[in-house]
Amino acid sequence: MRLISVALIASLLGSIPLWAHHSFAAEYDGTKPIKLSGTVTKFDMVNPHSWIYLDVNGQDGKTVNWKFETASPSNLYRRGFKKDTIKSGMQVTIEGYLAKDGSPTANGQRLHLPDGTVIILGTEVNPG
Amino acid sequence: MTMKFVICFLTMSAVAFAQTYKAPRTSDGKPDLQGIWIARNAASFDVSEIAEDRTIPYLPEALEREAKADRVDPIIHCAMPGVPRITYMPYPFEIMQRPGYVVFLYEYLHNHRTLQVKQREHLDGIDLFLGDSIARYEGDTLVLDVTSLGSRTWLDSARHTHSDQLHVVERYTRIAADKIDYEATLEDPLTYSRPWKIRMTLHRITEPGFELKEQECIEGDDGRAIHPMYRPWSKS
Repeated sequence: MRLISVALIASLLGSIPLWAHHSFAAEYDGTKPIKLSGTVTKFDMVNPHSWIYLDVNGQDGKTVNWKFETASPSNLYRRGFKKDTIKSGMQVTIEGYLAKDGSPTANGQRLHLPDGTVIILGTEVNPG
Repeated sequence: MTMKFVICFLTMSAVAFAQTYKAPRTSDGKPDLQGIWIARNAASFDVSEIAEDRTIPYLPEALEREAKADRVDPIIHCAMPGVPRITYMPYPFEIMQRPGYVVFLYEYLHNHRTLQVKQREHLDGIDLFLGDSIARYEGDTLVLDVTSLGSRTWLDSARHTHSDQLHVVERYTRIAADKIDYEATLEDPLTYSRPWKIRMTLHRITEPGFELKEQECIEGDDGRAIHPMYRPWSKS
């Protein structure tokens, strides 16, 4: 019982919105495409959607860590995108659509790798 | 001494019984495991309950990692429970077989594993909550070899974790009309000092007309999870 109470309290206090599975329209603005280049800091291959984290140097000299939502592990895998396709420190460019909430978040649509390979990142619902 | 003798006798009887029971066969001659099964234990709260010697051989560095891990059981956020935990979640699951296929349907969060029974290489470079299972039969036993399990799932609510190197070999052996002997070996060089085993009985649900029902987990709009299992009261 104590375990259940602890779990319950923890669940009420904790909040991990990234686990959520939302529609494109709820989170992103299809009229605001962006294209950003930067340094990969992390790739999180997880259902329902995987995430790429990118350090992007802004014109004001500040570096901002952007996060790009991408397709599910199975979708990416079938396109040849494996866990080690991108690694921390790699320079990449990602095209996508901005989040509606103004945070440095975007829906990733196309990933440009250093060797010129382009991988579609979007889900099958919004394939970019 | 007498007690030891009795236990020894009972164990031998159980082994003898398991050896004499012959599981029914499917149309293609495989051991028939079909039915709705459930684990009747509390391993989902603490897996050491079903661990061999009740011991999980953690490496010191893995214990350190575990101590720093998230404090919240991932299933609180509606995450899939992973393997082997899905097998001892306190919900029924159904095994269906047809030639060349075995299907596991879990009531819990409508998880499923649809497996072709054939030799192949494991997937490489992908993380999945339920991993990549390769199925084969060894005599009376269905063996599932599972990798690509990622590092997000816990083995129980007691924060027993693992790395993305986890390799699970599950063995399902029908030892009676209403019992499957389930054994799984867990190997993870980044977490455990040696391979270790869990073992439990899966019980067939014999209630006439029993069917799997819908079971869902919904996250609230604020990103906080509302899990039916842990919701003791309603808002009113």
